[in-house]
Amino acid sequence: MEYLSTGEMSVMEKLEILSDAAKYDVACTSSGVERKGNGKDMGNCVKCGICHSFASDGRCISLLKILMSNECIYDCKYCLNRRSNDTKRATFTPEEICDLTMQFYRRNYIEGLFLSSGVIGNPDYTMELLYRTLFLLRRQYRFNGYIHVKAIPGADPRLIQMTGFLADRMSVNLELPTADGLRALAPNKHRNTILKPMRQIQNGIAANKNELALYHNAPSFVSGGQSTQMIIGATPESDYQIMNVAESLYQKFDLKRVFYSAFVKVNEDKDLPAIPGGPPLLREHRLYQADWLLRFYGFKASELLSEDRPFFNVLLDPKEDWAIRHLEQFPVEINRAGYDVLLRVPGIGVKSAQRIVQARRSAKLDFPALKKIGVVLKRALYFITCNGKMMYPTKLEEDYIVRNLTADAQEKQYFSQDGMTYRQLSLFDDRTLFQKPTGTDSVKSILGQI
Amino acid sequence: MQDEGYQTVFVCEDSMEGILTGIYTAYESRLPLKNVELMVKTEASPRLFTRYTDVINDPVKAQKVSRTLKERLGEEHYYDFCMILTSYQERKAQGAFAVVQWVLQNRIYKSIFEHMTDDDIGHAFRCYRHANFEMMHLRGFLRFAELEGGVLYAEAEPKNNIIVYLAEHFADRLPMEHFIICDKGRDLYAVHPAGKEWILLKGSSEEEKISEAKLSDAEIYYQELFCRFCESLSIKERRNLNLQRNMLPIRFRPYMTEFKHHGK
Repeated sequence: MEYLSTGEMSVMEKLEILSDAAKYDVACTSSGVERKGNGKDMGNCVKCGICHSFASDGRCISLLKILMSNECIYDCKYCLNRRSNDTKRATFTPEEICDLTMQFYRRNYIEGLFLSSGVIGNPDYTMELLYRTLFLLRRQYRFNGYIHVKAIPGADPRLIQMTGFLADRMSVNLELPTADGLRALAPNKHRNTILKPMRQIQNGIAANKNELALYHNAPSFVSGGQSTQMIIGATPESDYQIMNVAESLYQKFDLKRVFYSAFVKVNEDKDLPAIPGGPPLLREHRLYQADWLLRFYGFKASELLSEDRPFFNVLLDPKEDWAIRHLEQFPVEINRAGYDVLLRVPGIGVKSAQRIVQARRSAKLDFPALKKIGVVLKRALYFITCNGKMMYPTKLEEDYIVRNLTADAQEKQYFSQDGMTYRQLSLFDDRTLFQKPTGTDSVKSILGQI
Repeated sequence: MQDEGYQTVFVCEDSMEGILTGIYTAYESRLPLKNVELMVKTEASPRLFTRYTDVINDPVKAQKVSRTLKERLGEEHYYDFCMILTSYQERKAQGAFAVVQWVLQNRIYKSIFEHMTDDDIGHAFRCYRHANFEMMHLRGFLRFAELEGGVLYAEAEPKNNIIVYLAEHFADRLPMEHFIICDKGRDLYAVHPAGKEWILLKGSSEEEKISEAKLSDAEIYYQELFCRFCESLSIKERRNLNLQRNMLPIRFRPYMTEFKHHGK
């Protein structure tokens, strides 16, 4: 087999080019698989995943995230590696990738390999290269750690199947949330070719579960599940559309994760939106929050957003936003409410809800106890009661709660201050006193001159 | 006879064996449990109306306690319990003692810290959580460097005494490597010879030898590669040093390859 020649380029240069090219891929987790070491080969996996470092953008570095090659036959408008861009191109050989992975892994730099690739020649050829690399790494280098590999849409299903037996997680990039967006920005990619391998992997995982139940030693197929990612803010979809897409991916394709990637403008193109404020990071953040609500809190996309309100609130997180629109369900009594009800209270997460349920078996809970448990009272206090009492006298009123949730700590208005925008006049209103009295002022006031 | 109302404090050594012996002695004394407290030596400062009794380590007693706990708690909860004992925080012995009292009297559903509203148990939980988080951090942040001769060497300065857990993790992960993990603050060394059980050493003779040892040639190359990798992986448009500092506290950085050289 012959690899496209890259001349005399050193591994150092290649690593720089190909990790730089891979950095916009967001799916860099090492979670989902628990695998003990086998006593001979290097590597094990931990269910919760391990972060090994954090880059200066605050994202975790968990896997050796690289592209096999940044050569690409496609011309997607948002992509740095598109055919029409004049960037430096490089391609790793499978041996180089294996060596890097092994050496980084034994120094505890990384948790495993994340391998993606631009499309060289055709999808089949690229997928075959990925497969060869994984095969070499697993069988010859005897690597037992975590491997995440991309399935290339359009590649032969048999190649994807074989690769799946070597990887812990596979993902197919959805690229853009809707088919229209894909048509506009990625003219060479089609929704169907993306969804086909996704369905194949889903069926493979399901079939493998049955096999494993029957034969314990059956080889495992993508045991860490499947994920995908989409770019947010390059096309005009609303948050509501995006959440619906994510929800149906979770339900119909059994995905483990959907990743959202705020659009970073790396190319100049007339079809791409201008983003003067930088990447839409807050929007990405809200989508992740909502994503968690879908997966762990029992929410549905239709509860969070609707056709009439298609975007998330900028000031409130999706759960607060939901809660203030459903005040009829609050306040919730901490000592009695069911687990699913507790989960819907802003300020109470999965961990604190579990702890509340456990702790109230042995004692009645009050507010100091909730604080110990880890409930964020700053947010929760408007929505809960302990033994029938609220923490402070508060109003269960939309305006009042929103104002307090969004206010900074100092500006917070408590009940006694009348939670409207006006305040009663007061002679001793020290909020308006900006200047401190000077020495002469105090002398004058003592002498009775003021 | 014991006077009513007097508090008895058993002062034990700051080690797993010490605290377990302390727990045994506390029960053995047959005093009402509410009048008994456990302390480790470093935190004992005299109080009024309190009797202090020193506990002498006894492996047999410690063994008995640990066996009982293992039977009652099961492997997973016992692991959580041991994590309390690694803590550096004060009052951990009392916390552990409270947890033992609770689990021996009540049925556990999900965790040994269920009765978290109790002060001592709540404190034990915080000890456990801090130690466990630090262990999970270091599992990722520990950096091995290859010395001449192929031995991997890593240093760390954890607040909690968790080197045992780290050694266990890496022995499972790198079974065919010779490696040494050094806890600099406590002067402890976990030494793992390839293909064998790892051992824990205390002492300074080892240190001298290691500081004399040189890095292998390949080591510098791979360190450079990794530093470049970390740099090229970050997205400029998303730069957020506060987030980085939240996720990776500065106290870990002196021992980490990518921060040692570039001081990012």
